[in-house]
Amino acid sequence: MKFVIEKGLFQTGLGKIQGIAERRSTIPILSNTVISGEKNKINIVATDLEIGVMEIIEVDKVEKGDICVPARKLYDIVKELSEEQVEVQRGENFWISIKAGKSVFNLPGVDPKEFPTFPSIEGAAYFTMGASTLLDMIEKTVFAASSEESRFNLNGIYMEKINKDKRDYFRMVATDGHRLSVIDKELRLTLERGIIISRRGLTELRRALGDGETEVTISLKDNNCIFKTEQTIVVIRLLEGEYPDYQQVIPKENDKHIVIERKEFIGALRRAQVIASEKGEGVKFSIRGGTMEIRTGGPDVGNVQEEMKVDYSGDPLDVSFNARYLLDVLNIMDTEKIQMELKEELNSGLIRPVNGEDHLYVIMPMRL
Amino acid sequence: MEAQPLTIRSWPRAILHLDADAFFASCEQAIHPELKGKPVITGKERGIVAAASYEAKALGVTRGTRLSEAKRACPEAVILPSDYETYSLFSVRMFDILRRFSPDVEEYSIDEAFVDLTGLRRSFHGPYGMIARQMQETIEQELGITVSVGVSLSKVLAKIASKHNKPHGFTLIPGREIHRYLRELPLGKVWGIGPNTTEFMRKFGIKTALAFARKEEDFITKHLSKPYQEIWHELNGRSIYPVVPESKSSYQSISKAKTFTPASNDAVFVFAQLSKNLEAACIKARRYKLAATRLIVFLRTQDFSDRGVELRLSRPTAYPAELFGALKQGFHELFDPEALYRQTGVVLAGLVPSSVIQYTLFEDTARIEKMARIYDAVDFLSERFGKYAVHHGSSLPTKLQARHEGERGDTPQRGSELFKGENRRQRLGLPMLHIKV
Repeated sequence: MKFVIEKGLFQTGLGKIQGIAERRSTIPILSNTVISGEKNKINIVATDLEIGVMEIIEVDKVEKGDICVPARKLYDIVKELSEEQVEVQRGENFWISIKAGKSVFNLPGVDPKEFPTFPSIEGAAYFTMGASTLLDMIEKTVFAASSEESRFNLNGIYMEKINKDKRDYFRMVATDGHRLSVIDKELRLTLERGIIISRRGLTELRRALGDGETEVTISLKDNNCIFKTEQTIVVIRLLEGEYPDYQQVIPKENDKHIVIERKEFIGALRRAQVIASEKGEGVKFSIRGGTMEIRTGGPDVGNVQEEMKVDYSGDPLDVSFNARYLLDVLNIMDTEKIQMELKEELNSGLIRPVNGEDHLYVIMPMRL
Repeated sequence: MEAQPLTIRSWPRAILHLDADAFFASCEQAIHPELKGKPVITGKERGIVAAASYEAKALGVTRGTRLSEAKRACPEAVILPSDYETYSLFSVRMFDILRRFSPDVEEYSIDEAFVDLTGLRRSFHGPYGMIARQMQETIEQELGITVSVGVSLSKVLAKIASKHNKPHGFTLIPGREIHRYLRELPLGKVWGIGPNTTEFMRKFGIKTALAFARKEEDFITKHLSKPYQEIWHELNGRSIYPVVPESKSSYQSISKAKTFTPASNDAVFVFAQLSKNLEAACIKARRYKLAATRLIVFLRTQDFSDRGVELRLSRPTAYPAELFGALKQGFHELFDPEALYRQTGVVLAGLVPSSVIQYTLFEDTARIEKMARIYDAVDFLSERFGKYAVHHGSSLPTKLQARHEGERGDTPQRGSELFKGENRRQRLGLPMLHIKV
């Protein structure tokens, strides 16, 4: 097996699989990458048995066959090469040689047959969407996912197909039990059941999709979810477990609607957070007519208060929230104004963009 | 070079370290005067020597030996069950006496204290040595136990001083004499230096505390981390560790662990032990108005291997009822029915003020409020009728087996003999003296 490849392309391709080819894996073979040559392309593969990534790179000169070598070592070598053209060739006993200009590296490898086979991706029903839309949906939900090991079913994003007014939507949901983020995009899709994709899987997916200038096809097969673009295939094992009935915690009777300038709100919360961070991030809000007062603090940490103009004309209302949970969502929304929908002090609040997409965020209050 | 002093002529800091001699055994001798001068061993309930009086030590009894061996070495020894209630009363009194002399008293353990004497020469009209002697004498006269005292320029040196001449020792190490005490002292005996560091330093030919103290700063900073650099300064008479007077009122974590004999592989019983530790830790957390964000569960087997897991909690809590789920999960991960367990423990970590409550989406807010009311009631009842007046059913199986079963499972005297008006739970803060007339 032999191929000649441009250094930059090779480095980028190898870079994208480094997160998966875990060096400290308990299964040593998994720290390797398999590169297989086919007709005018090579596939660079790595897996940790939960996530598999295949980078597909077109090359001019390639002889069929495959090699299996330490992923990190190969990446470190390619990174340091000074020439534009790199030639990789398989030798005896699974050794490989890497030639670039006057540099020649010889690297011991292992039998590619020992490496787990990449899951088959053929034959499953699929749907297609823009990578940028997919990335945007992930960004607007994943931050709310739990990182508690004991709640593994919340350690990812729940994805499902829903139907609103006879139209199909692709929905993503994430929650850690304190807040919940839901986003819908109208899309023609085939997804016969709800699935949970792990945080780690999403991280790799985001890395693989890069700047998002491409189309992604998404399919389900054998408990795996497959994301495929022209250059990359990411196969992610689905998280098992039931996703909680999130619909029931989306408040439907929150009649106190407050419209707030998003950027201004972020500024005020960031200032309050300087003090609140020592008090479990809790911040109190008092809304009276068109004014919202934000305050927090205590005898031992000092205090802060600030007033801001809001658009509200209902009954006075006092409520406390975790400032970080609010900032998390305000930072990723992209409209000028947001609407906060509240009911009573101990009821959940709802936040959505004004004149924006189908995104909503539910947040539980605190008692301070 | 060995004879060259580490010359410091003044007392930039004067730190006293006090270490009670064979504390538990001394307390027993104090309340049972007829035992003075006799070999006394405590720890009957555990089957091993918890403390041995100097008379017993002279016959070769050391801490941690099995009682059967101790009996062989010293057949006339008086073996008593540990009476922690009395020991802690003596301890409190000992610290109170120290506070008569200086407000800066650090209660380092039940029988050890550091005292910052700096600046007290003026009010006592005498040198530090004299003040320290007065402290020692007062304790020995009022409590009837002996203590060893060391005074020097830093905590590490004071600790070396108090150990220098035990029991009833009194050692003052002024700056100009530090080298004399460090010269013979193996490095491993210095407070804070463990076997690994000792071995590592041996590679450089450094075997004594003096050789270590004399190394130039560049060498120390190059080869050792910050804690050891600090010890190096302290050995050179430059005080780094302050005496921290306040008794603990804020916590980073709260841990509760209990040993039981014989060891058990009964899942119900071992879990009950954990459950009881969890209840105890939660009681303490609630007393300080704290709630945990993480729970650590650990089990220790008969052969002293420990296994533990750390679990993150969905919201801060100090209510056992909310923690049992995580506790069970941790227990099932750790418990191996083939192993015999001798100790269980829990740690409440990542403590935050419990006044702040984050409500959750998938649990009923009213339920959380109700839980708070239930535990308010539990705490109220405990205050009136004693700790564990109300406790969880899952802790009940601890009663299947006395904590330390068998022939040695007897209770300390203070536990069975009561002052008038006392009961099993509510006691006066007084040790009971057993003076035979």
